[in-house]
Amino acid sequence: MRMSPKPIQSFRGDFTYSNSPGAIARFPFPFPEDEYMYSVNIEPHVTPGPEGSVFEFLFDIDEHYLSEMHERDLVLKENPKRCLAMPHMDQACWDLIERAMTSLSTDYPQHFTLQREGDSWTWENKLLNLKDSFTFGDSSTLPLPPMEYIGRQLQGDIALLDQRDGDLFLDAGIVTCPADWSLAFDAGMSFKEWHGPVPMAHGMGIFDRALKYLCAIPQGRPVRRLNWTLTINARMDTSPETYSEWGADRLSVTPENVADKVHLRVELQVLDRMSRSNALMFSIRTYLISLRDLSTNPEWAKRMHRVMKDLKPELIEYKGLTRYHPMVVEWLSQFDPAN
Amino acid sequence: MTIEPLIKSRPSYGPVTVQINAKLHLFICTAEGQSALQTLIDAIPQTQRQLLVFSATDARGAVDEKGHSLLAEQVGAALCDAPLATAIYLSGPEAFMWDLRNLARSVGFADEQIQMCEPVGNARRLFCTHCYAITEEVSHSPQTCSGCGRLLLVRDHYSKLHAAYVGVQINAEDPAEIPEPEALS
Repeated sequence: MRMSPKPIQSFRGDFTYSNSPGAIARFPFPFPEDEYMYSVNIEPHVTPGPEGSVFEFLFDIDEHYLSEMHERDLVLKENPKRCLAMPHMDQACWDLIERAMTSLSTDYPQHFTLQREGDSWTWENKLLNLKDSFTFGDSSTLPLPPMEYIGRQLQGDIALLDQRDGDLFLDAGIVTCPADWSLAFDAGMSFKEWHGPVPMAHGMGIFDRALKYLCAIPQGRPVRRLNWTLTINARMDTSPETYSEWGADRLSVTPENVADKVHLRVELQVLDRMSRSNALMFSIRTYLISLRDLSTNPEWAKRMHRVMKDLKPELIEYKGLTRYHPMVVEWLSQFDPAN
Repeated sequence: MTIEPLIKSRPSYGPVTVQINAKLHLFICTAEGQSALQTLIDAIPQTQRQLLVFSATDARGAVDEKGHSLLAEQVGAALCDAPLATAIYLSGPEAFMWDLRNLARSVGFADEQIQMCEPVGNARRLFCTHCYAITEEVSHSPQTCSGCGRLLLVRDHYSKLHAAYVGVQINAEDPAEIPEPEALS
């Protein structure tokens, strides 16, 4: 089912965010097996994917579009440094603008239109009521810096990775809904540096193999993977910057509210080669679903129980689940009587 | 499978050796750091070497945001006058060395031209992930942030760009928890 944006809901305060039955049906459930462990789980992101699925297009626009763009505005107003682009990334930012505008206007013509005459471009975003004419490649003709301009129109976080010396460097991005990492601190880091805090995977050689794979991604052949964690309340901005505001949420989980408070947070990560700069776009599209909504699918509920029950202690700690993990397992067990 | 305790972004420091093909050998250190370089300094003919030694006071917060400091000016001048084939050797506190490495890179030096000794002392520069303030010469964790006053867990996750470790509020989940400070290694 294709999703039309619905009115703004909140990812903070009163947390009015909700998933419609259609959004639940297309939720990217991330566990292909009953046990979870790291793997280089990267696969080609061939578009168009299955109709109506989150894999259909390069950028997924769904019913939460207006809510997420509103949330992004709130985060950037509180802290403009949640978006940054180093000077040498200007061309990569324009690559992203081109890739986003051409894809969106092709994939969602009812919402977005792009007119091009040479370098004179006119972009219309009907969802946000925007219409701008600018000179392609000339940042002074945009109302905002290019990374922020396009980032404010795309769901999910975006990082632009500069490729040099056989490595990838985190040199630009807009990161307002991260799973606990800071763009401001990680800026400029190499691939292995910004994955430094991830437990176990380094020793497994995961990052060596992933880096080689990513550096070899050619133009027009994007790849994707899913990542996951758990989040308390439908909070998009679980950044280190705002940890003081959401850390205590982890103590608010009780056996009575666990099904509605605890959300499975899934990141659809897409990597796509930029055409002029040779940078790699890394988009991190976040989907949230409460355990209660997830359990409406019996297969998901059963598998979620098995994955949670057997999760390695290091991952429980790293993903910050320690305080409420037993309650999650207990609540899910009703869907998996055999275990 | 073994579990690795180390955070991989934390720099490691190998032995520093003479780059024999360099035309100029530029040694930059604090007074406390000079002994680690002395054998190398002595091995280079006087005409091919330059030595800049800074006091601990001058080295502190070596390069501010605008790049203004006595140290930045002196080092900047030396770097700009240096021939292409220059090798740089650094010794002193960790943040001092990475500030100088960043300064050298900003004027065109490559990492291959820059070597660092094992840092003098355990003091860390700390970047607060909440308010982005820098706290210098941190020796214990947790540490009170000089900017926002939060009690920060000092992690091993390191940014070369900030020349700093990251600090994250240690008791955000339960503010009643106030752990005893432990010395950093």
